[in-house]
Amino acid sequence: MHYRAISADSVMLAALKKQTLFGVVDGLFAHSVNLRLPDKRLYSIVAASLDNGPDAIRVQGPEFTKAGVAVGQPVEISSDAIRMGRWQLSLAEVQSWQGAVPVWPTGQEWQKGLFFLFHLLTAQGQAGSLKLLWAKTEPKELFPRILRERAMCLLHLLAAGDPAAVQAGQELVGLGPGHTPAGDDFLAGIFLLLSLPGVPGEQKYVEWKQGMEMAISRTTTVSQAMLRHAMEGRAREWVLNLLAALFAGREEELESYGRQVLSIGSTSGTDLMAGLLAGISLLLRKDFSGLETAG
Amino acid sequence: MAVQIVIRKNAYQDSVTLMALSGKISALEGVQEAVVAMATDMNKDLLRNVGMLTPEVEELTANDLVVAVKADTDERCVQTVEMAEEALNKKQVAGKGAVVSPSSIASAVDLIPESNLVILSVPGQYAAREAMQALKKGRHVMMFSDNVTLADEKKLKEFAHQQGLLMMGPDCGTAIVNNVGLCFANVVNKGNIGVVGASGTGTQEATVLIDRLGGGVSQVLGTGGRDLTEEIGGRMMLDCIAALAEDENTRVILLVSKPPADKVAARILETCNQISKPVIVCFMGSGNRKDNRKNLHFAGNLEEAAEIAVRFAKGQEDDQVETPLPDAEKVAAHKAELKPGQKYVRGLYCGGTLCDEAMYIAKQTVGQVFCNVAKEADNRLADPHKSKGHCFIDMGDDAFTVGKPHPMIEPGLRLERIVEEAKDPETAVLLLDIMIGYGSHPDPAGITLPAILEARKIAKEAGRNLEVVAYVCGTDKDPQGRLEQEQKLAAAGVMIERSNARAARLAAAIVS
Repeated sequence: MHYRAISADSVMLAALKKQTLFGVVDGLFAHSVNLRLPDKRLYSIVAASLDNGPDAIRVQGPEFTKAGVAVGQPVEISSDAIRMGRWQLSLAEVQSWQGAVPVWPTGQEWQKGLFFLFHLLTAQGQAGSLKLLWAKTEPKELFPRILRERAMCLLHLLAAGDPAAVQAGQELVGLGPGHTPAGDDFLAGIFLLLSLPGVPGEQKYVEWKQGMEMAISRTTTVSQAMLRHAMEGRAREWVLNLLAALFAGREEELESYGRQVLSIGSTSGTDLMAGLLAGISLLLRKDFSGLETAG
Repeated sequence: MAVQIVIRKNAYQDSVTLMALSGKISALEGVQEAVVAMATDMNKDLLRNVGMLTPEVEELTANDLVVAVKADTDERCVQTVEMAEEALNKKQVAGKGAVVSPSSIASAVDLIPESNLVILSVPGQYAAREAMQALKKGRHVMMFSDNVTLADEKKLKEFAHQQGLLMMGPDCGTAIVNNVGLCFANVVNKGNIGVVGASGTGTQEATVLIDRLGGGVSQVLGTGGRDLTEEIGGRMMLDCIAALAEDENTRVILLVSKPPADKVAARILETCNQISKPVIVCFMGSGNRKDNRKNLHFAGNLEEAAEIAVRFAKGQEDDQVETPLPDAEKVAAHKAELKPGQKYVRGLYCGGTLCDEAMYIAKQTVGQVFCNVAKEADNRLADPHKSKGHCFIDMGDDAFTVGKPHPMIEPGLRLERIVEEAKDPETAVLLLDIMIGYGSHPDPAGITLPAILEARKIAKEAGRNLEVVAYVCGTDKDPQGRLEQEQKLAAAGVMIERSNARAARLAAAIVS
């Protein structure tokens, strides 16, 4: 089986230049393999059909379930190769991906794109998620209903600077379906927005993020990695592309990037987009419930 | 109430598989609650609150998977759990309902070898190349993309024809194949009427009316908007007719299109004459016609076409039907509400074919009608953003959608236009289509209402009364619910009609 590394996260590559790391295979899927390091960090090997991301390597080749690798198998990761038993992936020619984080924009012109993204979310988002977060009618199914209740509660408390926002946020960690539970995807969107360069550094958000740090361990390993990345202002390429296009007012790109984000996982992309819009609503001090009736 | 649990420690099922499983078991009869989730603290809390937390589940960690089922009976619980176990034990493959993002047609085909159809929605400059790849891989193609050259379309359709494949499109927005709605489609009854339509809303109208009249569809195939031009020669319509003629589940065939080129029409009708099944033909704008060929039946509009199709599907060989005229008293009452100077109907449409049909119908009553996509130069609006006289606007045209989503998904531009038309003192009636079904906005009536209310307020403050006529194209089975959409509009004083043709007739009658 031939695999070729195409691109990898520059932060990860820089870390590997300093030392070789040893870990184990934590998760094995058709399109990704997760490697767990002793400090509980996760590195991911993902299929070429997916995008670049924090601590991830994009690889061309057959499904990983056919690679002859097993969960629990030891792995050695160095700057020139990843070795798992007989499986070896050379990193010699891998391209470095710089996950350029967009700066929070000034001006208001770019905000027109929010209307489009809001409708893309409600029209094209996956059912069973937070796609109807701002809708008038309450979802009937258990998870969407509870997720929506808690998400709304969090947004109101955060906007008000209420210290209870910490508990409200903690009640979303690990909540919902999916390997990255829906609540985590939503929180990741908010964390990312609040961590962007140029964002108004309101103390209430700084304190809230600090209060949330302890709760992150109460979810799956994969989700913990995602949440930590988001807190550091790091995210997947598709997400960064979307934010860059939105902030730059490049409306013609919003549909294709928006659909890419929505395609992440099953409902993860939908919940993540809901979180991004929620984060933006907080920073703009806008309630998106009004967007449904805006002309 | 019985509860059963399945546990998978350190589970490695991806989210797509888990959601598909969750959806499947939740839909089973007798299942009251089904939770498929990782055993995080919050999910365990939730299970506790709904009475499904067991001591075993309490012991689990966040990386363990739990499937919890609450059902009416023990038996149903056990069956459901067995289904879940089987699904979890299966090798992970991308299956029905899964969302995958391969980077090419070839890798997509590798990923899902049992697939037989590719739906393409990529920028036009790449669409033909991707479609040919799909056809060469033995897949039927449905191409939502437009901006493909005629030469490419011809090449694709000829190749598809040689391979015995369907090449639906370019610019094909609606199909229902083996009861699976593709792109913009409505939830309609299964039945024995096969439909071949050009691209989108005409097909949707035909299928929803068939459903409303108690009929059902066997297959709904699309050809794309240019198939019946001289250059393409009706290639795909001919192939679709042939396919439906062979299909044992199709008893009646219904063709929907704008008027074809004459030679193409002749070829299509001659082909239909060779098959034994009744064929109902609705070439919009060409009016009713009689034909000596026994199995051909012509309809003047989509409602009539659906009515005739359903009759033949039920074995009633009667093609005499006419759309009823609007109620004279109702028309007179609304006319009386108009102020002097209010004389024009302004149709603002999401659906291009519905816009066409409405325009043809209105013309018969009010005379000249302007349109942004009119074929005749005299009737074409110089500026699509500025109405003139009786005016029908196809808001899905390129002038409004370059770089923006279609109004069926994102109606912002139409909402603005509704308000603009209200400011014109010569506007008497606004005529709107409300498209529901898969792919459409989750609440088209809800999102349009504020604009309608504002429009009426603007007119009222200027001493005028603005009449609004609307048609909801969809069924009660659609996610948005036709009845609910109609009720929302009716509560705001919008006149609702039961077909696009009737809505157009009513609007035209009020201003005539």
